[in-house]
Amino acid sequence: MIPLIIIAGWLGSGKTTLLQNLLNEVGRNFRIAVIQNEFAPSGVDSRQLEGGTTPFRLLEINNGSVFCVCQLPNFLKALKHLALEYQPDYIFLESSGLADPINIAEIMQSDEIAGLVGLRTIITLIDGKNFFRTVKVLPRFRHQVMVADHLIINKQDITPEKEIEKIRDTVSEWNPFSAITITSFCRIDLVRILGSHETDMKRLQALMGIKSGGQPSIHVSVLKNHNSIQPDHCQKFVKDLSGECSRLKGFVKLTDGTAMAVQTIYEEVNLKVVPGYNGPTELIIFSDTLRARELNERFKLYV
Amino acid sequence: MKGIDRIRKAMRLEEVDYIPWVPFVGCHAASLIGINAIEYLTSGENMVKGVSRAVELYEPDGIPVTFDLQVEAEVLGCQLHWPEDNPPAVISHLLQEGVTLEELKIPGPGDGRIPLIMSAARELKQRHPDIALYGLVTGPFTLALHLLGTDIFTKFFEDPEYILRLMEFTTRVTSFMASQYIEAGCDVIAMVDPMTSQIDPESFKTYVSSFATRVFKEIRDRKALSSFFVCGYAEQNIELMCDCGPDNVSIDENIPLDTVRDIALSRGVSFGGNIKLTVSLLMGTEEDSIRDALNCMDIGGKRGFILAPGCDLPMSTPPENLRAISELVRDEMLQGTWRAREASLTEVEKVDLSAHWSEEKVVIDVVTLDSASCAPCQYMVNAVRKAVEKFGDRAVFREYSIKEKEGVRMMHTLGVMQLPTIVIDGNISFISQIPPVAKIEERIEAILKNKVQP
Repeated sequence: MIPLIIIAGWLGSGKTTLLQNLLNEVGRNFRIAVIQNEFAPSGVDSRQLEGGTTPFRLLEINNGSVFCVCQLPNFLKALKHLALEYQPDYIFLESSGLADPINIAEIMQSDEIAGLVGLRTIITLIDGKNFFRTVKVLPRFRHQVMVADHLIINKQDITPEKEIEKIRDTVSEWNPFSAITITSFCRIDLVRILGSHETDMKRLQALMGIKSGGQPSIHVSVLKNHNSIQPDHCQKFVKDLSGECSRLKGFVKLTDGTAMAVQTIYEEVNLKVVPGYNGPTELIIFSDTLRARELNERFKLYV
Repeated sequence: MKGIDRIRKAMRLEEVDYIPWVPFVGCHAASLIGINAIEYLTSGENMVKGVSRAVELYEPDGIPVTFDLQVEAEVLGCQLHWPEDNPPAVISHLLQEGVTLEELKIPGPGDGRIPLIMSAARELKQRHPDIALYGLVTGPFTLALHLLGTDIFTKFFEDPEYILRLMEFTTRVTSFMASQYIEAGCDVIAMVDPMTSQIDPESFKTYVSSFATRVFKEIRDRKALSSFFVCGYAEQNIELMCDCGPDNVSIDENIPLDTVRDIALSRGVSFGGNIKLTVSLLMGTEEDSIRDALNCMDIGGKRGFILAPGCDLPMSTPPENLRAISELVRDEMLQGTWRAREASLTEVEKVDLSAHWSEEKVVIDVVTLDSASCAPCQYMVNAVRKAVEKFGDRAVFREYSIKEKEGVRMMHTLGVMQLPTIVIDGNISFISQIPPVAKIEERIEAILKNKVQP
């Protein structure tokens, strides 16, 4: 299964620079495909990327397709075509400020793509200089921070240290389980970020006794609904699931108006109450047995 | 009641016989008549054919002429990219390419694809006069984003005056398109402005509220109904959307329907949505679609609610999923059956029936939707009532309506799958069809033979 890495972040946060670094570092040893969509100033970005020396395949989806759910099927088709035709080792999706990583994860459950491409990780870039201004006007950016596996606070060189601290405090309150890197010019250890997931997958493979010639096939399912549950029910629900999935992360809406940030890695369960979240319950679940419908049924038992 | 009346009533917050159903059929109709999206969206004739086919298949109360938010941008000069299986996409933003705002002109009725769409609207109104015909116009903020690209968000900080001038222009375009659709015979104008879901309430108030309010007032002055469509996470702006004065707000799966219901109804605005486009309709089965639609219907209720998918139906949405919903909306019995099935999944607790049965008497349970309102249920209950008469107190019966929780639990406990059903001494005996009284009597007699004489 080809891993898909979502690179999210608002305009000007450094996504293209990150992709360039990535092509330079990872592109030497792997076949890379990059997907960009319209709402990033793609013309500029792609020219910038194509100016580099590492070969890669660029797919532009010029219809903002990763924004509105009604456009997602088109994205799915393009993704499938890319996977079959170019057979990359990694696909990086540069998802613009307007895209929603959870909607993307959700549609990737489709039979059309399951087994072929799988969501691996979500990296969200933060423009240190404009962070607070952006989240004020564009509230959905907070969501991109919340669902990230890796947060990169970029532009350290032009952002006052105190501001960086403030950003770090804010984002770790919103997303208590994400790894945070503070940097400039998107200099991060990409190999480590990708590598840690490879290790995870191998661990899972060993644990579940799956003998697979290539990448282990781990299905990603999304549980998304607008129901709230009691805090103790939330704990039980998550604990119940943790035995059946390698990883689970996201947020569960609680009846007291707060939300529970949830992360499990195998049997290790981490829970933390997050105030001021009014979005839906959203969990991304990496498992080889659980599927969305079953997850919904199980969740209902706790409502 | 005609579909159009149902929609009118719903928008006036009056109770309706059935919840009105409006499948947002755009280029999905292309797949129904075996052509691609380009052939479809560039031909008025094909739109008429496609929508008419959708009307036949999905029996809607309302339906859009087409669903294409690029028409206005194209007329103004933005380039479009045309996939074969999706609506076109705007790929050039005029105001980023050297064109100035002052150079842009409000389109005329003969420009671009406007005449072919309007002629399709006229033809469709003539062919389907009983259905509410929706004219979809691009909202001013989304059109502004088509023209300026995402620079619009940086301009919020850098040049708010410019954004207001741009909004003034795009609002005039939106109003023009609305008037065209109304003249062509559309009953409802849906202003689709999905990009507003991205911004916070303060920005909405500054850059959207007064413009949207103007469009809705103009629609009302022209005696048409209006809807404010949005998709994405627009929860923070629902109150403000209602305050712009539309007759209806319509949302997608990203926002909880009950929240929208409470906000909209408290402001005297009807609401619509939000069957999941991808997970249920596109990728799901008929069962997934039915369960999702039913959940929406149960939240929405019969006053002020219009059942619809969250947004434009993807071209390859399986028609059988939409057919299943169209059957569900008019069949209360089917709704009841699904409701009970749904409950059986969550309601793990069964009824303790140990004291329910008797060694001397035959116990008959009739599981119904409700004999007071459902005719077959009433006939079945009457048949059982008649049949038990001759056995005095040796045969007893009770009706369990699944409108009550106890009925649902009983249905689940007895293993009843369809309504109405007669269960005699724990055995499912007659399903759906009303048996002759003599048949029921026969069955009771046979069981009584093995009972203890009192």
